[in-house]
Amino acid sequence: MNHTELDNATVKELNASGNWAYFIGFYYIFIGVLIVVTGVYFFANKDVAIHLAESAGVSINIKHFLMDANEWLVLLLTLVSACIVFMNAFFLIKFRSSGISFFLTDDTSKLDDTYTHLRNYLRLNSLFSIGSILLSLIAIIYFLID
Amino acid sequence: MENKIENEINLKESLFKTASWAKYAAVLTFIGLGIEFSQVIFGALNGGQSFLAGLFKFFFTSIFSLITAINLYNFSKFVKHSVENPDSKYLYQAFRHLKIFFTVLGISIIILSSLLILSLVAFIVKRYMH
Repeated sequence: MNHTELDNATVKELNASGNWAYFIGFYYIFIGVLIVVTGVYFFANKDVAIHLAESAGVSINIKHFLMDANEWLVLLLTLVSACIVFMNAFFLIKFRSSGISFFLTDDTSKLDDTYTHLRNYLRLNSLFSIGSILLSLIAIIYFLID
Repeated sequence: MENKIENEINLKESLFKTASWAKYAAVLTFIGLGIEFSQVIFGALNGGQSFLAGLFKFFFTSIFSLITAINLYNFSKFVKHSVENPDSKYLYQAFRHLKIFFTVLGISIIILSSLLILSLVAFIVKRYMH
């Protein structure tokens, strides 16, 4: 069997993956918008944001962190996080649309695009995981030293 | 004909690279879960929370990550089998695991969003009813 000729069952599985990826992609867009709105709101109204966080029952440590935090740094972190989320959404939506194009046209370049978008999504997730793991390790080392 | 063979090689290469990244992502998720588990142990040693409570919380927060990582790893494994062995059943298995990966991710998002909305509603009710 060659890879340009996927059987029907395999294409069906690929399409089902694409449909879920589409849903997750739109969810990521929603989360990205939420992150941007929260960041901009915090930037514009720090006191109100801290009061809201206090009403929501955040711990005293988080409250102090928010009070001491530089607004520009928070805005920058927010925008970087939103960018990562939007890029994830982009790759997932493109993965699905390329998969559908391959299904409809049987054009193998579209299948290549499908694999590429999936790879980019996994690559971004891997890099993000490395960042999270490093931060966790730093937190554990800090705890051990402290 | 030559073009078709070239196309096929390119596709095989592209799929193989995707499988490699899937494997990295799965292994990194396993490492992340291991670190999270060690944080539970350190939390218990620190006296911040009981070990059982931490373990319970860890189990519920990491079960979805564990299932997605296993399926991503299997996707990678079956793609590599399909590249080495030209049998359609391996490629089918690979894409089936990819589907399970996305399905579990989607379902976990639905469950977590529902819990978030529920807690938001509870917060609003608690705030404005009293």
